[in-house]
Amino acid sequence: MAEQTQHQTALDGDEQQVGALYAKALLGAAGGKTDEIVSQLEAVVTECLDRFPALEQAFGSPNIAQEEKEAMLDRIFGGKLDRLLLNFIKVLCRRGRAESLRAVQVTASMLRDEQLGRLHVQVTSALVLDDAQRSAIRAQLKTAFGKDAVLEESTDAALLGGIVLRIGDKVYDGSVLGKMQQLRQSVLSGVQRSMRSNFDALISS
Amino acid sequence: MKFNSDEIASVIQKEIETFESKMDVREVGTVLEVSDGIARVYGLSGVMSGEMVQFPSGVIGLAFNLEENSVGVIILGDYLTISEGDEVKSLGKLLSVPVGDGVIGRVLDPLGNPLDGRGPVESTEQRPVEVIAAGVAERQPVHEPLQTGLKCVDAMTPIGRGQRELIIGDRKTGKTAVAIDAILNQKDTGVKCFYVAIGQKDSSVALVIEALRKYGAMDYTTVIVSGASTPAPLQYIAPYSGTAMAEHFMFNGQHALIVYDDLSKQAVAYRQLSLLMRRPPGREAFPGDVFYCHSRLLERSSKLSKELGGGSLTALPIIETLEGEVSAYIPTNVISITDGQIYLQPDLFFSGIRPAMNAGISVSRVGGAAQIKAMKKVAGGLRLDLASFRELEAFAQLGTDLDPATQARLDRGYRMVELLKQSQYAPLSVYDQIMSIYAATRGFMDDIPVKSVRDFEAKYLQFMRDRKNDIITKLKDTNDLTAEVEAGIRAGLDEFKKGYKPVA
Repeated sequence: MAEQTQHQTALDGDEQQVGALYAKALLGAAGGKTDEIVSQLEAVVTECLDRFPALEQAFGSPNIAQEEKEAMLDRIFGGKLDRLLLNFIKVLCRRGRAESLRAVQVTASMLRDEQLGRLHVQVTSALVLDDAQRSAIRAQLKTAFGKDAVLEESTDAALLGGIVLRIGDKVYDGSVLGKMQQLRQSVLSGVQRSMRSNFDALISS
Repeated sequence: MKFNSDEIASVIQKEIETFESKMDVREVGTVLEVSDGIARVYGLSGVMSGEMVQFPSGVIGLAFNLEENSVGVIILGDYLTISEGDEVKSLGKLLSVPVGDGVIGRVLDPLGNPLDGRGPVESTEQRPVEVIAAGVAERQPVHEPLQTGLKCVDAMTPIGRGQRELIIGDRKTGKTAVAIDAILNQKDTGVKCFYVAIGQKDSSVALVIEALRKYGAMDYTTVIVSGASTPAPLQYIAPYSGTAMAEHFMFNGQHALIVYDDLSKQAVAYRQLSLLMRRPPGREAFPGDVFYCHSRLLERSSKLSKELGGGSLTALPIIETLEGEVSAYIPTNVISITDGQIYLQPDLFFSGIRPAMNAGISVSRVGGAAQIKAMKKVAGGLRLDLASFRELEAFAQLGTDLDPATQARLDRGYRMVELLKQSQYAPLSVYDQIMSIYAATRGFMDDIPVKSVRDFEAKYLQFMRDRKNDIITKLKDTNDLTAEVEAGIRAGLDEFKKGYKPVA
């Protein structure tokens, strides 16, 4: 199940589309402060919405008047968030798109990574990596893809050795476990082949 | 029997020595939901339609729906072993089945795995299940006959090699029996047969296999089974994989016959998949492309041009109708795709006319091109005669007095109908058929009581085989009803009738 949390994208197609649209607009408006805005938006989602689901519900609720929502936003975030971001969240609420805030955040950070040429790579290894290994992996990825890699590390002792890289939907399996599975397959099929071709030699009466 | 462990060890050693490890690069996705035979997968962004994917349990799936945010996969196997969050990897190839001589005589599932407990299928070649049919330039018109061994079919709705002839009728009207007799009659002709059972009771499939074994037809037949309890995706692909196995012979210049028993169940399986995949339902809740599902399948049956070896694939699709309703969606579709249909009627079946073919609405659009000359001469007007007899018979039932000419036509009609009856698993050679039908249409049976007709036929054919073998040989050599052969048959008939006593 751990795998699944790595797909943060909303699976609701409409919401994702809306999110992408607003995220583009937000990045466009941010101008020079893009990095700050994106990290603040991430903080809003992880520190407020994740911790207080009631807040998210309140923003999306049609029972609460728009003025009240805006006042609430000012009370909570006033002074702490960039003016632009606060306005953006207010616009979202006014348009009845508050539930798309997460989708906006995911797409915004994706778009930002793209702008900066960053590559998100999930690295799974048998043991915890050291800095030399990390920089070696980064250098290798830089030559292969021409982008700076952001490593998200995890360990899985079952791999026995080597690493497994996951970039988007592609998995590059360089683990000992994967090699052993390949070896097992080829031995199995080899024995099967020779059983079919010269069965008699394999039988002793 | 004991395995020689040294030998096996050396085989393993060789494998390890030659093992080359390559970086395993795969495209993956995550299972979002699983339901009856289908899964929805997130990821797999580069997967192509119809590409194979593999689940962690080893079960194979096919990418069926490519949507904006997810991929719909049909699961060809046990979907209960798959759970939410499983990693799915794409295999980058199309579904293929083993083909070649190794599949002959076997009972297989739609993926080519053996079901008969006789070990793995010995074949080195594979063929993709879904291929586009041969084009116009690669074909030639159907001209060789494919004898089914059934008098009514071969005489009135002849089937040629490369033709698609639909067998249609209600339940329990002998549809499968017609197809099985056609398979039995391919003995010693070199035609490879394929029987694809889709959505049928396993017990009835077992009966068919038993009959094929008993009459020696399993030597040249492959049975592909996806029974009523197999998941819908397997029922859906079964006819395609059977066709792939049969096509292999066609493209190697040989002849093959394939029976799809039956396509209405395949359409139902396809409907189930499509509805689960949320494709929009159309008429009778079938998806919009159910016509294409059948047309692309049947289009693969063809007669190849001489340059390509002149091989052929003949298809006998079966459709089950409900209460004789041929204007339902699937029957009309398949009727319009095929080159003719054999229509089996329940009332004929129950009045003892078996095969219960209705001569009036059964047609073969290839027609006389698929008959040998002698059969064409003997059976030329048979279909129309029988149809006019049916009309006359209905009229005569009113009890009116009839003039002698009409009475004579009626009498001949009764004998003709009696002669066209045939027992199951008893296909007749085309030459026997010619001699029988000649006797009836030329009036040699007019003085035989109707109930003795079949006895007369059997004894007459035996007589000809025993005493007049030279005539049969001549007929076989020329394939034509020359004056000489005709005189010989007439003489034989006269001689036989002198000694024949009708059964009491």
